[in-house]
Amino acid sequence: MAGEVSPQEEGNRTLHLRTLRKQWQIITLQVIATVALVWMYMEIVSTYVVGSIDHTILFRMLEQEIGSELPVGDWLTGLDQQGVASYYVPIGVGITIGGGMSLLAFQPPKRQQKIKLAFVIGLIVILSGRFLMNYLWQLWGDGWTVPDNNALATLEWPLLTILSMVILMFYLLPVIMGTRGIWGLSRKGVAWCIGFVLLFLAIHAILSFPVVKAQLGGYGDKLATLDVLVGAPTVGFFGMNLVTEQQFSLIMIACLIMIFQESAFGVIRQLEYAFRLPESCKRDPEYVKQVDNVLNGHLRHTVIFLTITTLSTMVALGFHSVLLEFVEGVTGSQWAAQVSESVELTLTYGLVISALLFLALMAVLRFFVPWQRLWGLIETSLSRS
Amino acid sequence: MWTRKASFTFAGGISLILIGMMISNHQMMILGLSFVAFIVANSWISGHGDVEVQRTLSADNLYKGDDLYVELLVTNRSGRRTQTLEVYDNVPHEMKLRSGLNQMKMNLGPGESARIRYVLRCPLRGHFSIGPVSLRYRNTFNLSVEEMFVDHHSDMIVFPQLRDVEEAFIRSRTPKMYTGATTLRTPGPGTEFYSLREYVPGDPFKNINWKAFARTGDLMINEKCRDAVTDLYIILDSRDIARIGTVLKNPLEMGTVAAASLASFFLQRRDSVSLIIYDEKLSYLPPDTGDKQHFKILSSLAGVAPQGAMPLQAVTNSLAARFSRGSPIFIISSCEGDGTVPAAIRDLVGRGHEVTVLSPSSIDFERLVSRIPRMSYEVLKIERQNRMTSLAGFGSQVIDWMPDMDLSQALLQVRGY
Amino acid sequence: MAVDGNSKLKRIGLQFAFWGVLAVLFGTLMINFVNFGQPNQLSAYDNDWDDLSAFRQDINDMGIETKSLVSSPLLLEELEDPRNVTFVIAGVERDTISLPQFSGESVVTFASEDGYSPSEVDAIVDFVVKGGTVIVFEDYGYANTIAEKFGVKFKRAQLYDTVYVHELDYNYIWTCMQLAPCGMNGTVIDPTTIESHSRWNITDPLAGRHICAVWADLMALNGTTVTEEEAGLCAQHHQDGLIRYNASYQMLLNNITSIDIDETNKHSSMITQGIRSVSSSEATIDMNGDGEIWIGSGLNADTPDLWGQFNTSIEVCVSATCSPFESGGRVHFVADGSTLINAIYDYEGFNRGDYGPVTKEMPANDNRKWALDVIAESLMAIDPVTGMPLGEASPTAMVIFDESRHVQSNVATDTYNMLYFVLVYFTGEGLAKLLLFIALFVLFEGVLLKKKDPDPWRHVFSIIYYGFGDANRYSYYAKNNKIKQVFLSKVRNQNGLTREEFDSMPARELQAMIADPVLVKFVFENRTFTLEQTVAIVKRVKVWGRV
Repeated sequence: MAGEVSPQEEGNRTLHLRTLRKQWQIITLQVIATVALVWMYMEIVSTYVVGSIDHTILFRMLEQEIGSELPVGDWLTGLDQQGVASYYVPIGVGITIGGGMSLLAFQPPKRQQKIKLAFVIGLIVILSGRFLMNYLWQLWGDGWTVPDNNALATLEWPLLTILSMVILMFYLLPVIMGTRGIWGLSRKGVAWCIGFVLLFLAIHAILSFPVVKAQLGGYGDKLATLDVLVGAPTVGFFGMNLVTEQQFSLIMIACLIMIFQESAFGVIRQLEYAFRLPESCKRDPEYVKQVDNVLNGHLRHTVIFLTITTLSTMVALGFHSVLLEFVEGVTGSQWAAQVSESVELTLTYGLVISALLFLALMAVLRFFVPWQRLWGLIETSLSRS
Repeated sequence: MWTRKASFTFAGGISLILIGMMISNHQMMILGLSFVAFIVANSWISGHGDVEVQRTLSADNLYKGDDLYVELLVTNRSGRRTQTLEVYDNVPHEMKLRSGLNQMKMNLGPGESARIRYVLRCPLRGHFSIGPVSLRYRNTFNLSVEEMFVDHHSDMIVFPQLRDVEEAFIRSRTPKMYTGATTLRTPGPGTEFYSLREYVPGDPFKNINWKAFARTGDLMINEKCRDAVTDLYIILDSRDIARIGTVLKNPLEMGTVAAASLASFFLQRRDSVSLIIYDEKLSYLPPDTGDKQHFKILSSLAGVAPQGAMPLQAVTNSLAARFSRGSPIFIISSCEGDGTVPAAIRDLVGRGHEVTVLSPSSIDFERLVSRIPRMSYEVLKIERQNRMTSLAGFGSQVIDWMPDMDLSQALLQVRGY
Repeated sequence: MAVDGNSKLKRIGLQFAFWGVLAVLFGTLMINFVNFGQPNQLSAYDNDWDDLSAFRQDINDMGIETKSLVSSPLLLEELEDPRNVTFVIAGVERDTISLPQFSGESVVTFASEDGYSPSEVDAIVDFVVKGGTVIVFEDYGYANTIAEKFGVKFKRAQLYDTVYVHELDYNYIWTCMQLAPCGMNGTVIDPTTIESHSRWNITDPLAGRHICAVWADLMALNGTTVTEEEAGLCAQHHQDGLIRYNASYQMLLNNITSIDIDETNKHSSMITQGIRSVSSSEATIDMNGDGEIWIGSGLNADTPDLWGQFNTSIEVCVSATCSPFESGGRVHFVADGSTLINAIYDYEGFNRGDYGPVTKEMPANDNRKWALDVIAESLMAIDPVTGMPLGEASPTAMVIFDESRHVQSNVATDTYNMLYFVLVYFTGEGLAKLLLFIALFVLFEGVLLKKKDPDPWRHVFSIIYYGFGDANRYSYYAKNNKIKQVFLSKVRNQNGLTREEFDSMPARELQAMIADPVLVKFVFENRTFTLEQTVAIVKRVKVWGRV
């Protein structure tokens, strides 16, 4: 149909990256991702690492070996703290380093090159500066000789410092890569972070397997392991106790991984879409409005559906007791009596089967609950008023 | 439909649960359960494509190379949100996107609308259709995708370009050029005044001479002199051989431009123009005047495609009898691959028609796309020249049209007999 | 209005086909292991005359928790306290999935007629080694895989004995839990032939004496009396405020077989077998199952059956003494799957008609007493300080009934149990785990290869056009004859001649018309020219006739 067609308009707001990055929805998602990252790291550390394989043990071993304190301050490495508190400052350091790397990624290539070069040169100077000066002085005084102990002693501090930082960075890799991924809009960074975490969990699972753990001897005893059998639930909501404390921390680890991943990838995905729009579309108010809508929807869904995921995982794990009660209540059936007393229901098999049963019920329920229509009616009436 | 991510997540969840049970590791089982729970939770949300689509084009018909402004209005007429919906307006691949984008990612609330505006350029003539509108609902976390479409099309015609040939006809050395309508001293349809006569029922009111009525009190009609218009016949060669060359430079493209320009020129002068296109079949548009005829000719030329191998003599044999006596005939053909051209022209000239052969040089068009050995090229050229000479020898005016030559320039090079 | 088109229908059709094929495959698998029309029996959770509900009820009345195992004995590895668990296998009526196994000698072995897979058998063996107690009641089923690991083997052919219940029929055999067989005095058991249990009546409490006897001795020493309630797990021996332990057991068995000692596949040399009951020396075994007994001095086609004295119950222990005060568990093998069925176990209730109409009454027997004494020995609590029995059940005491190898009452139940079995099996069994890994890997590969996300939309401007001429003719136009023909056409056209006129023109006139010696030679001489010559000729032809 032919008619009057006006050209694309230009509005006040645009979808250029420098503007869109500062939009409140993007910042909120990034903050959610960062909080999830730090929280997840703390949960993992408190469940698997603290008191077992944490960095303070390694540092103390190192100090014992060298017979003196490490040059890096205890306040920085967390050696002056106990338990999970020993990770507070290092996490801050990790976020700072990750943030710095993100900031670097947004600089022009020449400036990036200069900064990287300055960093490398600085590292070289720290490592060998004093040594070179001492040695040169020695050469000046004594002629061509090998470096004496004084000169060699100057290498001790930088080497130990770098070693401490390397160890700390190794422990903080997920935080550093995650922060870099969130704020530097790097998919690779987010993927590496999740990869490290899953790899750690997988290695820990393999090492804590009884057959493998027995082979590790004394080192295996130090490994923190999880209880096999289900205990009495103490954590829940609305007065229902659904899961044990340990199960709750495991649920939090799993759900926080997802929250971190979805928030970070969501930000990158939306910004990438806006970045790829042609110039005229970036200025078009229609596109700006719809990107706003999409971002609002993304934020809503991130909060709502990930919360539902966490809650439904908790309910799913606590569902086996409901199932037991239900089955016990069914009388007059040989099968019912058999199942109600079955060992499987008390072990993890029954727990998992009942959890999957609950999730299957939840999946089927959507065909009976027209929540989207109801919500649409509410939205329509709100928009009219 | 689940995406790859959802399939991996679900399969990964089940795998983690099973492997966790195998090695009695609670973390793996819970991780797997949370993955499955995530998929299940997201299954509760779904988008829809129940939208109303309205497309507005700046023009239904335009000329080759013109810009087309398109606006697509998408309205959510459902009572619930569309969720993240990607809307893509399918544009023919022959059209170039000049500005804007023919797609948008949107999330429309109930009753909300969004406009997509973009500009297309049409470098090829033809009949085109924009649409349908493709819709793709994508889950927020990229877990599911659903494809739909709205069957809404907008048709348009891209006419061949018109060239200005007036100057060529004015400056042409050839006598008997066509000067358009000439007045005959007989009453009939026309523009010049002939005489007054009494009104008879049925006469159009617009022809009533009111001054005469005021004077005499009787209704009087202005009678006009009949215009004698010339019937011009344009025969366009649309055989398969006319496709030789590039997409924009080939005998058929040049021919359509020439036919359109000539038709436009003569119709402006109120001559009757007829268009005959021969390819695998024969299409005959009888001579007529006016804008309607202009539109018909341009529409026919827009849809012309190179196919078939009908000889020219078959055309002249079937239609020559219908040609008005002494009317000029333009034959736009490369004269390549058709041994009946000389006989056809001789026949037309013999019937008293003024024949002008406008022949795009197919060899030079072929040279644009193929590497012809120099010697073969020269011989082919000589052969073509022989052909042109023999056609001229039968009494027609022959124009050898090179690829880089403008139409008016070519018309100026008419070779008389 | 959005139109989904045929793609939605196609998707639904594909899904339907996929699930349909999966259901057919699954059903085919299930048919192999789900029994249709078979009688369900020997279940501790059913209360027919041929089930074990009375035994289970007695255990519950003693305050001991009972559990069922519907999937696989692989779950025994998950138990925290095997020492205080008794595992009851009453009839192994069903085979299991026979996957190839990795063995020490050959790479892969194939087991047949398993009953239990090697991993399940190993799980049971580990359970016993850790201190658990297993009771195996079997006759013609699939229990030999367990038995062989403990150095015994079921004969799986019916045993007939002269010591049988005359009021019923020859299928009902009397056997006494003692080393010497008990005999008949006419139609009843000769009480003089009844002795005591070979281990439970030993005087040394640490050499295998029954725990109720030990407790009774302790109470006698302390002068303690107990009520029947306080008697706990030894209530069946309670009499006048004391525990008067009686070590003689007159057992009634039905349709029995015999058990041999066979150390071929014994798990460990630490395991010791103790014969607990035997048949009379006049017993026979119908080896070929034809219902006839043909015996001779040797075993051949004419005399395929056996006669003599056969073992009807063997106890296998991990420790040398079998004492409950030592570590290591024990397995009681009884050559009759129906030893504890309600009809025999609760003979009083059966005779009363509690389990259906009665045609013949069941005689009194000590099956219940024996079974409860086994439970008492395995599950009685022992004071960790003094090491003395406490009479009551251990707080973590549990009896698990193996329901995984029983025919279920309906298909749904069988299916449920099968699902659990598949889950436990594929996450517990060695090769099955490998298969599961492979299946998961294939699943991931399938998703990676097949599952493609829709391509992002992008408008691509492209005009595909083919406008090439016939390149084959180029070489033709380089030939001399063609050049000649073209030149002559040019000459003819230039001079306004028709073809006929030109053809009839004399050669001299034509030469004069051409007026170029090179071109005249080219036209009139039939010779080959070099490329350079031809090029030169073409150039001359091109300019020929120009003014």
